[in-house]
Amino acid sequence: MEDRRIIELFFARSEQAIAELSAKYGKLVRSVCRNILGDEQDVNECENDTYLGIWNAIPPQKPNPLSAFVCRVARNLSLKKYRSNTAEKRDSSLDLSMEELENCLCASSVEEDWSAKELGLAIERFLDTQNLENRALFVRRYWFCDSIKAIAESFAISENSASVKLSRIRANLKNYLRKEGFDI
Amino acid sequence: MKTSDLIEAMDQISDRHIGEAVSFRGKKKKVMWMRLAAVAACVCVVIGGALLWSRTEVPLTKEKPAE
Repeated sequence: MEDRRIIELFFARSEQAIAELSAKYGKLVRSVCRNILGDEQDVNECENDTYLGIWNAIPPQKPNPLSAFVCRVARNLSLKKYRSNTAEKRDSSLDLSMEELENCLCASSVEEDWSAKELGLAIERFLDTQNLENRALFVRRYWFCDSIKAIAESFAISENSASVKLSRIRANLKNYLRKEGFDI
Repeated sequence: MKTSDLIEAMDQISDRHIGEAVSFRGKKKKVMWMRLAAVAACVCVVIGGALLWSRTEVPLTKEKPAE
């Protein structure tokens, strides 16, 4: 079913909207939650909370694209759960992907004088300088926290090729941020 | 900068970039199919050539007419 039609069902307060949303984006939602949480019970809870969150948000919101909105709700709820989990329970793809970025961006021992928001906006501008494949690779790895294996399958490339491409993108990002005045 | 700050930084990525990452699919390479097609084409040429040759082959000796 088309996104437009699903949104119409939400506006009509039809419970079929949840069923259609789940049929179209359920796999994606579970993947977002699983990459951050790891634990299947937490994933189930977060998936249901995501549908409830979207039910409460539409209307009045009319998101476009719906896929990004669904992913953002799932990610925010998963991160909330992640933060409330104990350190022992935190064993997910999120830690691995963030560690890669940390190693790239946080080499300096000097205390940074820029905020996370400023860095995020600079990363957003950096993405606009990249081609579609590089942008999608970066977002899939560091926003969705997809594993290298999953990315390789989705992009029809080898795992080694995915790792090399991501490594080049990180190096480009580092150079870009330096030019933008970030002390990295 | 800590992991939590990096997670917060990544929140600034726009819906546009998230949407295109969701819909992006790599192009499957059709190398195997192309190789098979090339081999099949070669086999066809060889068989076709052999058939054509056998039909147009000129006999070396003329048969004597029956008396």
